[in-house]
Amino acid sequence: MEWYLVSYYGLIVLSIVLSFVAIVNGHKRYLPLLLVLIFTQLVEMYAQFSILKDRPFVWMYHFFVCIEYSLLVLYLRLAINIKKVGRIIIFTIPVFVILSLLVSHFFYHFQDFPGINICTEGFLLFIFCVVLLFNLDVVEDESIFSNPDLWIALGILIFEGGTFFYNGVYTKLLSIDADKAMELFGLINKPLNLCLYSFINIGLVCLIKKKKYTTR
Amino acid sequence: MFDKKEEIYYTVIFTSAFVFILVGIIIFALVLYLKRKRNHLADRAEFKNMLLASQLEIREQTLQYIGKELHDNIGQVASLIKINLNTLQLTDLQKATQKIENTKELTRQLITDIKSLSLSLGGDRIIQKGLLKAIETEVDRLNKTGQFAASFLVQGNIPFIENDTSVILFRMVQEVLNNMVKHSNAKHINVTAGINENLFILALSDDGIGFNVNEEVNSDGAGLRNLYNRASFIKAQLSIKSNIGKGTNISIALPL
Repeated sequence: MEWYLVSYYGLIVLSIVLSFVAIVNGHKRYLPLLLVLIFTQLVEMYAQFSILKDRPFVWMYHFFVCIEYSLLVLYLRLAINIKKVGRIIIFTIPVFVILSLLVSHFFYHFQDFPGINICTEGFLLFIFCVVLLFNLDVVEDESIFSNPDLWIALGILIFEGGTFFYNGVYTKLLSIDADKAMELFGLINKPLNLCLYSFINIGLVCLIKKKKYTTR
Repeated sequence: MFDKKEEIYYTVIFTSAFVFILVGIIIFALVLYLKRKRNHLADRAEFKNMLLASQLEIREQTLQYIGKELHDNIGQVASLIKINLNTLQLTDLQKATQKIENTKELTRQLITDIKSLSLSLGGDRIIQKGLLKAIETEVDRLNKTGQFAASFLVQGNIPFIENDTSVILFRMVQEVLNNMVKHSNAKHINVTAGINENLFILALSDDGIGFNVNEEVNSDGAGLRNLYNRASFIKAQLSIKSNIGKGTNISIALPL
């Protein structure tokens, strides 16, 4: 197995373990994050297995994107301490899920890679992460860098922002040279993936080291 | 893959734009956080000052009360005891016995008064026992003056109120009662504590001469403004309703 896959799966497993420990320690609002990590691990494992068996697997991303978006939005909703924004954020879940499934059905027929869905998801998550970063809870005796939500939001921001910008030119690059465009996609996507899960792990370590400071 | 230089430029421009936006967002978030933290610390320091001022004022009021009690009550009883003992003539046994009995009664009264006064000394301890108990003691003091018929009514189960908030609330009640005593010419003063939805409500009313609320708020005196300030520090709503000749109603609503 190549070094990237080992690091990638290793980081996801580590973040699952850390978020589980955090929840056991009383930080229950991180449950959606744990669930999304478990789903991601299962989907990625299934994708690898399907590649080995040469079976189609892209269809599952149409459903995974809905589940991933719902759980991440739920996590962000619990982290953002502004009621009005929270209501709007929650409202986007059913809207996104319905529109995403409609696009998957009528545009991709659940066969092609759901690029539009992932782009929209990334764009919305990018905005919500910015809102979270601008409204991080002030804790008197602690530095901002020990705030777990800072690291997790930064990880999502960098990943979604990075893939979003690349997705913008991906179609164009595919039309020029499909092989090299996919190679470039891997080059961009791999470090962004590692960055995302590393940041999530840093955030979770900060969370575990932290006292149980709120009931939220 | 990049047959045309244009494609490389696009990629470089998009990546650079992303990095710039990201760095901008992070810097802005950090600056915003530091600003909010500074404001939070300033608010906290101001709250601590307000708390300290309230505690000092409560202590000062307690000392004033003790001074007055020592002068008007305990001092008088002690003087009577001294006069009784000075004028005691053992030649007339019947009168002497009567005076000794009278002196014993005065001494008993003196001991009771000193015991009750010693309870007032622990102003902070009363707060620790609870806000409601502290307000009850204040109302009892008013009744003891004989100038007012004061009552205190608790409606429903009042949940625990944080100590710092209790100190400020208690000081607000003291300020309102002081104003009623000094300026209202009231005969009746009523204090009610209760719960309405998610609010703890303290209502104080009198049947005195009333006053013009707007004039008082805009006047140079700090009394009402102090009350509004204290209320805003504990995020409570203060409502003052008064009409000339129709008494005053003041309510403090604290979100729970």
